Amino acid sequence: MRKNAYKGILRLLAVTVAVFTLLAGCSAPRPSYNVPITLDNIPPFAGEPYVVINDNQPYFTEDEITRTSYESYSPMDHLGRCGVAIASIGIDIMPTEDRGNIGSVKPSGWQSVKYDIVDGKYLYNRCHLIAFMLAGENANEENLITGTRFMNTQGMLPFEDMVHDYVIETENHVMYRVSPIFDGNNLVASGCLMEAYSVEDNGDGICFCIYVYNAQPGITINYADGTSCLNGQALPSSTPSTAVGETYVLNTSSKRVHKSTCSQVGRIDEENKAEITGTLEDIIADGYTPCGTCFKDEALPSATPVVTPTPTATPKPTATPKPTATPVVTPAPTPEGGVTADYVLNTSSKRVHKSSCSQVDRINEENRAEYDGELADIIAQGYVPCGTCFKDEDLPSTTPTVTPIVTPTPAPDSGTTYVLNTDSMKFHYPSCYQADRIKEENKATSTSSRQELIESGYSACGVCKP
Amino acid sequence: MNIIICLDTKNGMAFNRRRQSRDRCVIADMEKSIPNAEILASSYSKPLFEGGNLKVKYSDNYLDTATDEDYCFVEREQLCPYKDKISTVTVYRWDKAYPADVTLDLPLDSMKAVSTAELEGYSHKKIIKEIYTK
Repeated sequence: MRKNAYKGILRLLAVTVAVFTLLAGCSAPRPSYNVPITLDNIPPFAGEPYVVINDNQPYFTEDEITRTSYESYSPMDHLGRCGVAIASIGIDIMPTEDRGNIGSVKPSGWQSVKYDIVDGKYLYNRCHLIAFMLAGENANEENLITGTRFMNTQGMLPFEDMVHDYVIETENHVMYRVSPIFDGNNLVASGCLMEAYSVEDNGDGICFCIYVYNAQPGITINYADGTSCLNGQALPSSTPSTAVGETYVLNTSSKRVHKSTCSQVGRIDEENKAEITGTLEDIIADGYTPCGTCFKDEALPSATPVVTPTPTATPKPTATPKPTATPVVTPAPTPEGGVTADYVLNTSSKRVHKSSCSQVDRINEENRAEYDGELADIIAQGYVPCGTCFKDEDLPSTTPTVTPIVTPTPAPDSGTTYVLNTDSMKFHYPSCYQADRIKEENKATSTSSRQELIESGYSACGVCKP
Repeated sequence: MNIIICLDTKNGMAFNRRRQSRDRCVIADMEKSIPNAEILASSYSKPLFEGGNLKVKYSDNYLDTATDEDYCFVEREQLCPYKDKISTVTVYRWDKAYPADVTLDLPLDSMKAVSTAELEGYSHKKIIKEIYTK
Protein backbone atom coordinates (compact mmCIF):
# COMPACT_ATOMS: atom_id res chain seq x y z
CA MET A 1 0.00 0.00 0.00
CA ARG A 2 1.30 3.41 -0.86
CA LYS A 3 0.68 6.41 1.18
CA ASN A 4 1.75 9.99 0.89
CA ALA A 5 3.79 11.18 3.82
CA TYR A 6 1.79 14.19 4.75
CA LYS A 7 -1.61 13.09 3.71
CA GLY A 8 -1.99 11.27 6.97
CA ILE A 9 -1.25 14.34 9.01
CA LEU A 10 -4.16 16.15 7.48
CA ARG A 11 -6.63 13.44 8.20
CA LEU A 12 -8.94 13.79 11.06
CA LEU A 13 -7.89 11.53 13.84
CA ALA A 14 -8.93 11.39 17.41
CA VAL A 15 -5.81 10.23 19.15
CA THR A 16 -6.56 8.43 22.29
CA VAL A 17 -3.89 6.81 24.33
CA ALA A 18 -5.18 3.92 26.35
CA VAL A 19 -5.49 4.24 30.08
CA PHE A 20 -3.08 1.84 31.58
CA THR A 21 -3.47 0.12 34.86
CA LEU A 22 -1.03 0.32 37.65
CA LEU A 23 1.26 -2.64 37.43
CA ALA A 24 2.10 -4.37 40.65
CA GLY A 25 5.77 -4.13 41.46
CA CYS A 26 6.45 -0.98 39.44
CA SER A 27 7.99 1.92 41.27
CA ALA A 28 5.81 4.43 39.41
CA PRO A 29 2.34 4.12 37.93
CA ARG A 30 2.08 3.70 34.18
CA PRO A 31 1.19 6.94 32.41
CA SER A 32 -2.54 7.64 32.20
CA TYR A 33 -3.09 10.39 29.70
CA ASN A 34 -5.51 11.24 26.94
CA VAL A 35 -3.38 13.22 24.53
CA PRO A 36 -5.27 16.49 24.14
CA ILE A 37 -4.39 17.16 20.50
CA THR A 38 -5.42 15.56 17.25
CA LEU A 39 -3.45 15.43 14.06
CA ASP A 40 -6.07 17.45 12.22
CA ASN A 41 -5.15 20.38 14.48
CA ILE A 42 -1.53 20.21 13.41
CA PRO A 43 -0.48 22.19 10.34
CA PRO A 44 1.23 20.15 7.63
CA PHE A 45 4.98 19.81 7.87
CA ALA A 46 6.53 22.77 6.07
CA GLY A 47 10.20 22.38 6.90
CA GLU A 48 10.19 23.62 10.49
CA PRO A 49 10.94 20.87 13.01
CA TYR A 50 8.16 21.77 15.45
CA VAL A 51 5.10 23.90 16.09
CA VAL A 52 3.97 25.44 19.36
CA ILE A 53 0.84 23.93 20.89
CA ASN A 54 -1.56 25.57 23.37
CA ASP A 55 0.50 28.77 23.52
CA ASN A 56 3.40 26.73 24.92
CA GLN A 57 1.45 25.78 28.04
CA PRO A 58 1.82 22.10 28.93
CA TYR A 59 -1.16 20.07 30.10
CA PHE A 60 0.18 18.79 33.42
CA THR A 61 -2.37 18.68 36.21
CA GLU A 62 -1.55 19.76 39.75
CA ASP A 63 -1.68 16.14 40.84
CA GLU A 64 0.96 15.18 38.33
CA ILE A 65 3.52 17.82 39.29
CA THR A 66 5.99 16.48 41.80
CA ARG A 67 9.40 17.27 43.22
CA THR A 68 10.15 13.58 43.49
CA SER A 69 12.11 12.26 40.56
CA TYR A 70 10.58 9.37 38.66
CA GLU A 71 10.04 8.07 35.17
CA SER A 72 7.27 5.93 33.74
CA TYR A 73 6.64 4.38 30.35
CA SER A 74 3.50 2.98 28.76
CA PRO A 75 3.41 -0.68 27.86
CA MET A 76 3.58 -1.27 24.13
CA ASP A 77 0.27 -1.79 22.37
CA HIS A 78 -0.81 -4.79 20.32
CA LEU A 79 1.06 -3.40 17.30
CA GLY A 80 4.28 -3.12 19.28
CA ARG A 81 4.10 0.67 19.45
CA CYS A 82 5.27 2.87 22.29
CA GLY A 83 2.87 5.03 24.26
CA VAL A 84 3.22 8.05 26.50
CA ALA A 85 6.38 8.46 28.58
CA ILE A 86 6.37 10.79 31.59
CA ALA A 87 8.98 11.77 34.15
CA SER A 88 9.87 14.22 36.80
CA ILE A 89 13.43 14.82 35.72
CA GLY A 90 15.78 15.34 38.62
CA ILE A 91 19.51 15.28 38.83
CA ASP A 92 19.28 12.02 40.78
CA ILE A 93 17.92 10.04 37.81
CA MET A 94 20.29 11.47 35.24
CA PRO A 95 22.87 9.03 33.89
CA THR A 96 26.29 8.82 35.43
CA GLU A 97 27.72 6.56 32.73
CA ASP A 98 28.01 6.76 28.99
CA ARG A 99 25.09 5.47 26.99
CA GLY A 100 25.06 1.79 26.15
CA ASN A 101 24.16 0.03 22.96
CA ILE A 102 20.55 0.28 21.79
CA GLY A 103 20.98 -1.48 18.47
CA SER A 104 19.19 -4.58 19.68
CA VAL A 105 15.86 -2.72 19.84
CA LYS A 106 13.77 -2.60 16.67
CA PRO A 107 11.02 -0.06 17.27
CA SER A 108 7.76 -0.42 15.35
CA GLY A 109 8.17 0.49 11.70
CA TRP A 110 11.96 0.25 11.89
CA GLN A 111 13.76 0.37 8.56
CA SER A 112 17.47 0.71 7.98
CA VAL A 113 17.75 2.97 4.97
CA LYS A 114 20.23 5.60 3.93
CA TYR A 115 19.96 8.71 1.78
CA ASP A 116 22.72 11.03 0.69
CA ILE A 117 20.57 14.03 1.54
CA VAL A 118 20.21 13.00 5.20
CA ASP A 119 22.73 14.19 7.74
CA GLY A 120 24.57 11.00 8.71
CA LYS A 121 22.75 9.29 5.81
CA TYR A 122 20.48 7.07 7.91
CA LEU A 123 16.89 8.24 7.62
CA TYR A 124 15.84 6.75 10.93
CA ASN A 125 17.27 6.88 14.42
CA ARG A 126 16.09 4.95 17.42
CA CYS A 127 14.63 7.99 19.13
CA HIS A 128 14.31 8.02 22.88
CA LEU A 129 11.01 9.47 24.05
CA ILE A 130 12.67 10.53 27.28
CA ALA A 131 16.23 11.23 26.24
CA PHE A 132 19.04 9.15 27.67
CA MET A 133 20.65 12.34 28.95
CA LEU A 134 17.56 13.03 31.06
CA ALA A 135 16.74 9.69 32.64
CA GLY A 136 19.52 7.30 31.68
CA GLU A 137 17.29 4.78 29.92
CA ASN A 138 19.28 2.71 27.46
CA ALA A 139 17.68 -0.03 25.40
CA ASN A 140 14.19 0.24 26.89
CA GLU A 141 11.83 -0.74 24.08
CA GLU A 142 9.01 1.21 25.73
CA ASN A 143 11.08 4.37 25.29
CA LEU A 144 12.35 4.00 21.72
CA ILE A 145 10.49 4.88 18.55
CA THR A 146 11.42 5.00 14.89
CA GLY A 147 12.19 8.66 14.35
CA THR A 148 13.74 10.58 11.51
CA ARG A 149 17.17 12.07 11.86
CA PHE A 150 15.57 15.47 11.43
CA MET A 151 13.09 14.95 14.26
CA ASN A 152 15.79 13.58 16.51
CA THR A 153 18.42 16.25 16.01
CA GLN A 154 16.48 19.34 14.94
CA GLY A 155 13.20 18.73 16.73
CA MET A 156 13.79 16.95 20.00
CA LEU A 157 17.44 17.52 20.86
CA PRO A 158 17.34 21.31 21.41
CA PHE A 159 14.50 20.87 23.92
CA GLU A 160 16.22 17.95 25.62
CA ASP A 161 19.41 19.96 25.93
CA MET A 162 17.52 22.91 27.39
CA VAL A 163 15.88 20.75 30.06
CA HIS A 164 19.09 18.87 30.81
CA ASP A 165 21.21 21.96 31.29
CA TYR A 166 18.55 23.65 33.40
CA VAL A 167 18.33 20.67 35.77
CA ILE A 168 22.11 20.42 36.08
CA GLU A 169 22.41 24.15 36.78
CA THR A 170 19.55 24.55 39.24
CA GLU A 171 19.07 21.03 40.61
CA ASN A 172 15.36 21.71 40.24
CA HIS A 173 12.91 19.20 38.79
CA VAL A 174 11.23 19.38 35.40
CA MET A 175 7.97 17.59 34.64
CA TYR A 176 8.49 16.09 31.23
CA ARG A 177 6.15 14.13 28.98
CA VAL A 178 6.53 12.87 25.43
CA SER A 179 3.53 11.39 23.62
CA PRO A 180 4.12 9.70 20.27
CA ILE A 181 1.11 10.20 18.03
CA PHE A 182 0.22 7.51 15.52
CA ASP A 183 -2.32 7.89 12.76
CA GLY A 184 -4.60 4.86 12.96
CA ASN A 185 -2.62 1.64 12.81
CA ASN A 186 0.51 3.21 11.42
CA LEU A 187 3.70 1.75 12.84
CA VAL A 188 5.67 4.99 12.57
CA ALA A 189 4.53 7.95 14.63
CA SER A 190 3.51 11.09 12.76
CA GLY A 191 5.17 13.13 15.49
CA CYS A 192 5.42 13.64 19.22
CA LEU A 193 3.84 16.04 21.67
CA MET A 194 6.58 17.27 24.02
CA GLU A 195 5.67 19.02 27.26
CA ALA A 196 7.88 20.33 30.06
CA TYR A 197 7.41 22.44 33.18
CA SER A 198 9.98 23.30 35.84
CA VAL A 199 8.61 22.46 39.26
CA GLU A 200 10.37 24.44 41.99
CA ASP A 201 10.05 27.80 40.19
CA ASN A 202 6.54 27.14 38.83
CA GLY A 203 7.58 27.13 35.20
CA ASP A 204 9.75 30.25 35.31
CA GLY A 205 12.76 28.31 34.09
CA ILE A 206 11.25 25.74 31.71
CA CYS A 207 7.80 25.80 30.17
CA PHE A 208 6.93 24.51 26.73
CA CYS A 209 4.38 22.51 24.81
CA ILE A 210 5.29 21.64 21.24
CA TYR A 211 4.60 19.10 18.53
CA VAL A 212 7.67 17.77 16.71
CA TYR A 213 7.17 16.40 13.23
CA ASN A 214 8.53 12.94 12.51
CA ALA A 215 9.46 14.06 9.03
CA GLN A 216 12.57 14.47 6.94
CA PRO A 217 12.94 17.22 4.35
CA GLY A 218 13.19 15.77 0.86
CA ILE A 219 11.94 12.33 1.87
CA THR A 220 8.44 10.86 1.60
CA ILE A 221 7.60 8.42 4.34
CA ASN A 222 4.92 5.78 4.41
CA TYR A 223 4.04 5.96 8.09
CA ALA A 224 2.14 2.69 7.83
CA ASP A 225 5.34 0.68 7.76
CA GLY A 226 8.27 3.08 7.59
CA THR A 227 9.13 2.59 3.94
CA SER A 228 10.32 5.73 2.21
CA CYS A 229 11.55 7.32 -0.98
CA LEU A 230 12.91 10.60 -2.22
CA ASN A 231 10.21 13.18 -2.83
CA GLY A 232 8.77 12.76 -6.28
CA GLN A 233 9.72 9.11 -6.55
CA ALA A 234 7.55 6.05 -5.97
CA LEU A 235 7.42 4.42 -2.56
CA PRO A 236 8.57 0.81 -2.47
CA SER A 237 6.06 -1.92 -1.83
CA SER A 238 5.20 -2.41 1.81
CA THR A 239 7.40 -4.79 3.70
CA PRO A 240 6.50 -7.02 6.60
CA SER A 241 6.54 -5.02 9.80
CA THR A 242 7.81 -7.75 12.01
CA ALA A 243 11.44 -8.61 12.31
CA VAL A 244 12.59 -11.24 9.85
CA GLY A 245 15.81 -13.13 9.61
CA GLU A 246 17.90 -15.36 11.77
CA THR A 247 18.83 -15.09 15.41
CA TYR A 248 22.37 -13.88 16.03
CA VAL A 249 24.39 -13.19 19.15
CA LEU A 250 26.10 -9.83 19.55
CA ASN A 251 29.18 -8.92 21.52
CA THR A 252 28.21 -5.35 22.33
CA SER A 253 31.73 -4.63 23.54
CA SER A 254 33.78 -5.87 20.60
CA LYS A 255 30.93 -5.08 18.16
CA ARG A 256 31.12 -8.59 16.70
CA VAL A 257 28.09 -10.53 15.47
CA HIS A 258 28.13 -14.30 15.79
CA LYS A 259 25.87 -17.11 14.67
CA SER A 260 24.07 -18.53 17.68
CA THR A 261 25.95 -21.81 17.15
CA CYS A 262 29.38 -20.16 17.08
CA SER A 263 31.98 -21.52 19.50
CA GLN A 264 32.94 -17.96 20.41
CA VAL A 265 29.53 -17.20 21.89
CA GLY A 266 30.34 -19.02 25.10
CA ARG A 267 33.31 -16.74 25.65
CA ILE A 268 31.36 -13.50 25.56
CA ASP A 269 30.93 -11.89 28.95
CA GLU A 270 27.29 -12.01 29.98
CA GLU A 271 27.05 -8.23 30.29
CA ASN A 272 28.24 -7.81 26.71
CA LYS A 273 26.02 -10.48 25.22
CA ALA A 274 22.79 -9.69 23.37
CA GLU A 275 20.59 -11.83 21.20
CA ILE A 276 18.97 -10.30 18.15
CA THR A 277 16.67 -11.56 15.43
CA GLY A 278 17.06 -9.77 12.16
CA THR A 279 18.97 -9.64 8.95
CA LEU A 280 22.73 -9.71 8.93
CA GLU A 281 22.67 -6.70 6.66
CA ASP A 282 20.85 -4.64 9.29
CA ILE A 283 23.23 -5.76 12.00
CA ILE A 284 26.25 -4.83 9.91
CA ALA A 285 24.60 -1.50 9.20
CA ASP A 286 24.45 -0.99 12.96
CA GLY A 287 28.22 -1.17 13.10
CA TYR A 288 28.78 -4.84 13.86
CA THR A 289 31.46 -6.94 12.17
CA PRO A 290 30.77 -10.60 11.38
CA CYS A 291 32.81 -13.01 13.48
CA GLY A 292 35.76 -14.40 11.61
CA THR A 293 35.15 -17.88 12.91
CA CYS A 294 31.50 -18.60 12.21
CA PHE A 295 31.17 -16.52 9.06
CA LYS A 296 34.40 -17.84 7.63
CA ASP A 297 34.21 -18.45 3.88
CA GLU A 298 30.70 -17.02 3.66
CA ALA A 299 29.65 -14.32 1.26
CA LEU A 300 28.57 -11.49 3.48
CA PRO A 301 25.88 -8.98 2.61
CA SER A 302 26.76 -5.51 1.54
CA ALA A 303 26.03 -2.64 3.85
CA THR A 304 22.69 -0.91 3.46
CA PRO A 305 22.49 0.64 0.01
CA VAL A 306 22.42 4.37 -0.14
CA VAL A 307 19.55 6.02 -1.95
CA THR A 308 20.97 8.77 -4.07
CA PRO A 309 18.84 11.48 -5.60
CA THR A 310 18.62 10.80 -9.31
CA PRO A 311 19.12 14.39 -10.45
CA THR A 312 22.51 14.65 -8.72
CA ALA A 313 25.11 15.40 -11.32
CA THR A 314 28.02 13.88 -9.42
CA PRO A 315 26.66 11.03 -7.38
CA LYS A 316 28.36 10.46 -4.06
CA PRO A 317 29.95 7.09 -3.47
CA THR A 318 27.62 4.55 -2.01
CA ALA A 319 28.14 1.62 0.27
CA THR A 320 31.27 -0.41 -0.22
CA PRO A 321 30.77 -4.17 -0.03
CA LYS A 322 32.05 -5.85 3.11
CA PRO A 323 35.07 -8.04 2.49
CA THR A 324 34.20 -11.63 1.90
CA ALA A 325 37.51 -12.88 3.26
CA THR A 326 37.86 -13.96 6.85
CA PRO A 327 38.94 -10.84 8.67
CA VAL A 328 39.99 -12.32 11.96
CA VAL A 329 42.91 -9.97 12.43
CA THR A 330 41.99 -6.35 12.46
CA PRO A 331 44.01 -3.22 13.04
CA ALA A 332 44.17 -2.52 16.74
CA PRO A 333 43.36 0.82 18.26
CA THR A 334 46.02 2.86 19.96
CA PRO A 335 46.69 2.12 23.62
CA GLU A 336 44.32 4.86 24.76
CA GLY A 337 41.62 3.34 22.64
CA GLY A 338 41.31 0.17 24.67
CA VAL A 339 41.15 -3.30 23.19
CA THR A 340 37.99 -5.23 22.51
CA ALA A 341 39.36 -8.46 21.01
CA ASP A 342 40.46 -11.53 22.93
CA TYR A 343 44.14 -11.20 22.06
CA VAL A 344 46.55 -8.64 20.69
CA LEU A 345 49.32 -9.63 18.33
CA ASN A 346 52.73 -8.12 17.82
CA THR A 347 53.15 -8.91 14.15
CA SER A 348 56.83 -8.01 14.31
CA SER A 349 57.97 -10.09 17.29
CA LYS A 350 55.26 -12.71 16.63
CA ARG A 351 54.10 -12.57 20.24
CA VAL A 352 50.45 -13.02 21.23
CA HIS A 353 49.20 -11.18 24.31
CA LYS A 354 46.00 -11.16 26.28
CA SER A 355 44.21 -7.91 25.63
CA SER A 356 44.68 -6.96 29.29
CA CYS A 357 48.44 -7.50 29.18
CA SER A 358 50.62 -4.60 30.28
CA GLN A 359 52.91 -5.25 27.32
CA VAL A 360 50.20 -4.37 24.83
CA ASP A 361 50.70 -0.66 25.31
CA ARG A 362 54.33 -1.01 24.30
CA ILE A 363 53.64 -2.47 20.86
CA ASN A 364 54.26 -0.07 18.03
CA GLU A 365 51.07 0.90 16.30
CA GLU A 366 52.16 -0.46 12.94
CA ASN A 367 52.92 -3.87 14.45
CA ARG A 368 49.74 -4.23 16.44
CA ALA A 369 46.69 -6.28 15.46
CA GLU A 370 43.63 -7.59 17.27
CA TYR A 371 42.78 -11.26 17.19
CA ASP A 372 39.41 -12.76 18.01
CA GLY A 373 39.79 -16.51 17.95
CA GLU A 374 41.32 -19.62 19.42
CA LEU A 375 44.75 -19.32 21.02
CA ALA A 376 45.77 -22.66 19.51
CA ASP A 377 45.08 -21.34 16.05
CA ILE A 378 47.30 -18.35 16.40
CA ILE A 379 50.08 -20.39 17.99
CA ALA A 380 49.84 -22.68 15.00
CA GLN A 381 50.72 -19.73 12.86
CA GLY A 382 53.96 -19.14 14.63
CA TYR A 383 52.91 -16.79 17.39
CA VAL A 384 54.45 -17.31 20.83
CA PRO A 385 52.39 -16.59 23.95
CA CYS A 386 53.71 -13.65 25.93
CA GLY A 387 55.75 -14.69 28.94
CA THR A 388 54.11 -12.07 31.14
CA CYS A 389 50.40 -12.55 30.64
CA PHE A 390 50.44 -16.30 29.97
CA LYS A 391 52.89 -17.03 32.79
CA ASP A 392 52.04 -20.25 34.66
CA GLU A 393 49.18 -21.10 32.32
CA ASP A 394 48.66 -24.37 30.51
CA LEU A 395 48.96 -23.42 26.89
CA PRO A 396 47.43 -25.31 23.99
CA SER A 397 49.78 -27.43 21.96
CA THR A 398 50.62 -26.41 18.46
CA THR A 399 48.41 -27.96 15.81
CA PRO A 400 50.27 -27.58 12.54
CA THR A 401 47.35 -28.74 10.41
CA VAL A 402 45.29 -25.65 11.11
CA THR A 403 44.68 -23.54 8.07
CA PRO A 404 46.50 -20.23 8.33
CA ILE A 405 44.01 -17.59 9.33
CA VAL A 406 46.14 -14.55 9.85
CA THR A 407 45.48 -12.24 6.98
CA PRO A 408 47.29 -9.02 6.31
CA THR A 409 45.85 -5.89 7.77
CA PRO A 410 43.06 -4.94 5.38
CA ALA A 411 44.00 -2.36 2.85
CA PRO A 412 42.51 0.99 3.74
CA ASP A 413 38.83 1.20 2.95
CA SER A 414 38.44 -2.40 1.86
CA GLY A 415 34.93 -2.53 3.20
CA THR A 416 35.67 -0.69 6.41
CA THR A 417 32.69 0.68 8.28
CA TYR A 418 33.46 3.92 10.06
CA VAL A 419 31.56 5.52 12.89
CA LEU A 420 30.85 9.19 12.33
CA ASN A 421 30.33 11.96 14.82
CA THR A 422 28.16 14.32 12.82
CA ASP A 423 28.62 17.01 15.43
CA SER A 424 32.43 17.05 15.76
CA MET A 425 32.81 15.78 12.15
CA LYS A 426 35.29 13.10 13.26
CA PHE A 427 35.28 9.51 12.03
CA HIS A 428 36.42 6.48 14.00
CA TYR A 429 36.92 2.75 13.75
CA PRO A 430 33.92 0.99 15.33
CA SER A 431 36.27 -0.44 17.98
CA CYS A 432 37.44 3.01 19.10
CA TYR A 433 36.36 3.92 22.59
CA GLN A 434 35.72 7.44 21.42
CA ALA A 435 33.05 6.08 19.09
CA ASP A 436 31.19 4.66 22.08
CA ARG A 437 31.06 8.10 23.62
CA ILE A 438 29.29 9.74 20.71
CA LYS A 439 25.78 10.84 21.53
CA GLU A 440 23.23 8.75 19.65
CA GLU A 441 21.85 11.81 17.93
CA ASN A 442 25.29 12.61 16.53
CA LYS A 443 26.24 9.06 15.63
CA ALA A 444 26.18 7.55 12.16
CA THR A 445 28.02 4.85 10.31
CA SER A 446 29.47 5.03 6.86
CA THR A 447 31.10 2.66 4.45
CA SER A 448 32.45 5.51 2.38
CA SER A 449 36.21 5.46 1.95
CA ARG A 450 38.55 7.40 4.21
CA GLN A 451 39.29 9.83 1.41
CA GLU A 452 35.63 10.33 0.65
CA LEU A 453 34.90 11.09 4.28
CA ILE A 454 37.73 13.61 4.42
CA GLU A 455 36.45 15.22 1.25
CA SER A 456 33.03 15.41 2.88
CA GLY A 457 34.51 17.47 5.71
CA TYR A 458 35.24 14.73 8.23
CA SER A 459 38.61 14.31 9.92
CA ALA A 460 40.17 11.14 11.28
CA CYS A 461 40.01 10.44 15.01
CA GLY A 462 43.34 11.11 16.67
CA VAL A 463 42.97 8.10 18.95
CA CYS A 464 42.19 5.20 16.61
CA LYS A 465 43.76 6.93 13.60
CA PRO A 466 41.52 5.37 10.92
CA MET B 1 27.08 51.31 26.20
CA ASN B 2 28.54 47.87 26.67
CA ILE B 3 26.28 44.92 26.02
CA ILE B 4 26.65 41.55 27.74
CA ILE B 5 24.52 38.79 26.30
CA CYS B 6 24.21 34.98 26.24
CA LEU B 7 23.57 33.37 22.83
CA ASP B 8 23.40 29.86 21.45
CA THR B 9 25.17 28.68 18.32
CA LYS B 10 22.41 30.17 16.17
CA ASN B 11 22.32 33.53 17.97
CA GLY B 12 19.21 32.41 19.88
CA MET B 13 18.38 34.27 23.09
CA ALA B 14 15.04 33.11 24.46
CA PHE B 15 12.13 30.75 23.95
CA ASN B 16 8.60 31.28 25.26
CA ARG B 17 9.69 34.44 27.10
CA ARG B 18 12.33 32.49 29.01
CA ARG B 19 16.10 32.52 28.71
CA GLN B 20 17.43 29.55 26.79
CA SER B 21 19.97 28.61 29.40
CA ARG B 22 22.03 29.85 32.31
CA ASP B 23 25.35 29.02 33.91
CA ARG B 24 26.77 30.33 37.16
CA CYS B 25 30.19 30.52 35.52
CA VAL B 26 28.99 33.39 33.32
CA ILE B 27 28.23 35.53 36.36
CA ALA B 28 31.50 34.43 37.97
CA ASP B 29 33.38 35.52 34.86
CA MET B 30 31.62 38.89 34.87
CA GLU B 31 32.63 39.35 38.51
CA LYS B 32 36.23 38.72 37.49
CA SER B 33 36.18 40.80 34.33
CA ILE B 34 34.29 43.88 35.47
CA PRO B 35 34.33 43.68 39.29
CA ASN B 36 33.61 47.34 39.94
CA ALA B 37 31.15 48.04 37.19
CA GLU B 38 27.49 48.70 37.80
CA ILE B 39 25.39 46.38 35.68
CA LEU B 40 22.05 47.46 34.27
CA ALA B 41 19.47 44.77 33.66
CA SER B 42 15.75 44.07 33.63
CA SER B 43 14.09 42.63 36.71
CA TYR B 44 13.80 39.31 34.85
CA SER B 45 17.55 38.85 35.30
CA LYS B 46 17.47 39.31 39.09
CA PRO B 47 17.65 35.60 40.03
CA LEU B 48 20.92 35.23 38.14
CA PHE B 49 22.72 37.83 40.24
CA GLU B 50 21.26 37.03 43.65
CA GLY B 51 23.97 36.22 46.19
CA GLY B 52 26.69 37.50 43.88
CA ASN B 53 29.14 40.34 44.27
CA LEU B 54 28.14 42.42 41.29
CA LYS B 55 26.28 45.65 41.76
CA VAL B 56 23.18 45.43 39.59
CA LYS B 57 20.53 48.06 38.99
CA TYR B 58 17.22 46.71 37.71
CA SER B 59 14.93 48.72 35.50
CA ASP B 60 12.47 47.98 32.72
CA ASN B 61 13.87 50.74 30.49
CA TYR B 62 17.53 50.19 31.28
CA LEU B 63 18.58 50.30 27.63
CA ASP B 64 16.98 53.73 27.21
CA THR B 65 18.72 55.20 30.23
CA ALA B 66 22.14 53.58 29.82
CA THR B 67 25.10 55.89 29.26
CA ASP B 68 28.17 55.22 27.09
CA GLU B 69 30.08 53.68 29.99
CA ASP B 70 27.32 51.47 31.37
CA TYR B 71 27.25 47.67 31.12
CA CYS B 72 23.87 46.23 30.15
CA PHE B 73 23.06 42.56 30.69
CA VAL B 74 20.53 41.71 27.97
CA GLU B 75 18.36 38.58 27.92
CA ARG B 76 15.23 39.21 25.87
CA GLU B 77 15.36 42.72 24.46
CA GLN B 78 15.99 43.66 20.85
CA LEU B 79 19.13 45.72 20.33
CA CYS B 80 18.83 47.23 16.87
CA PRO B 81 17.00 50.34 18.17
CA TYR B 82 20.09 51.04 20.30
CA LYS B 83 22.82 50.08 17.83
CA ASP B 84 24.22 53.60 17.62
CA LYS B 85 24.72 53.68 21.39
CA ILE B 86 26.51 50.32 21.55
CA SER B 87 30.30 50.40 21.75
CA THR B 88 31.09 46.82 22.76
CA VAL B 89 29.27 43.49 22.82
CA THR B 90 30.42 40.62 25.02
CA VAL B 91 28.84 37.32 24.02
CA TYR B 92 28.81 34.26 26.25
CA ARG B 93 28.03 31.62 23.67
CA TRP B 94 26.54 28.26 24.65
CA ASP B 95 28.02 25.28 22.88
CA LYS B 96 24.73 24.07 21.39
CA ALA B 97 21.53 25.19 19.72
CA TYR B 98 18.50 25.56 21.96
CA PRO B 99 14.95 26.35 20.86
CA ALA B 100 14.60 30.05 20.11
CA ASP B 101 11.85 32.48 19.25
CA VAL B 102 13.94 35.53 20.11
CA THR B 103 17.29 35.89 18.39
CA LEU B 104 19.90 38.61 18.33
CA ASP B 105 18.89 41.28 15.85
CA LEU B 106 22.26 43.02 15.90
CA PRO B 107 24.59 41.96 13.04
CA LEU B 108 27.74 40.98 14.89
CA ASP B 109 29.61 40.62 11.63
CA SER B 110 29.39 44.36 11.21
CA MET B 111 31.47 44.74 14.36
CA LYS B 112 35.12 43.91 14.96
CA ALA B 113 35.82 40.67 16.82
CA VAL B 114 38.65 41.47 19.21
CA SER B 115 38.92 38.34 21.30
CA THR B 116 37.55 34.88 21.96
CA ALA B 117 38.19 32.73 24.98
CA GLU B 118 36.92 29.37 26.12
CA LEU B 119 35.41 28.99 29.58
CA GLU B 120 34.47 25.82 31.35
CA GLY B 121 30.91 26.15 32.55
CA TYR B 122 29.09 24.50 35.43
CA SER B 123 26.23 23.06 33.40
CA HIS B 124 27.89 23.56 30.02
CA LYS B 125 31.07 21.81 29.00
CA LYS B 126 32.21 24.83 27.08
CA ILE B 127 31.21 28.48 26.87
CA ILE B 128 32.90 30.73 24.33
CA LYS B 129 33.38 34.31 25.38
CA GLU B 130 33.49 36.60 22.37
CA ILE B 131 34.14 40.33 22.52
CA TYR B 132 33.19 42.70 19.71
CA THR B 133 33.82 46.40 19.32
CA LYS B 134 32.58 48.93 16.82
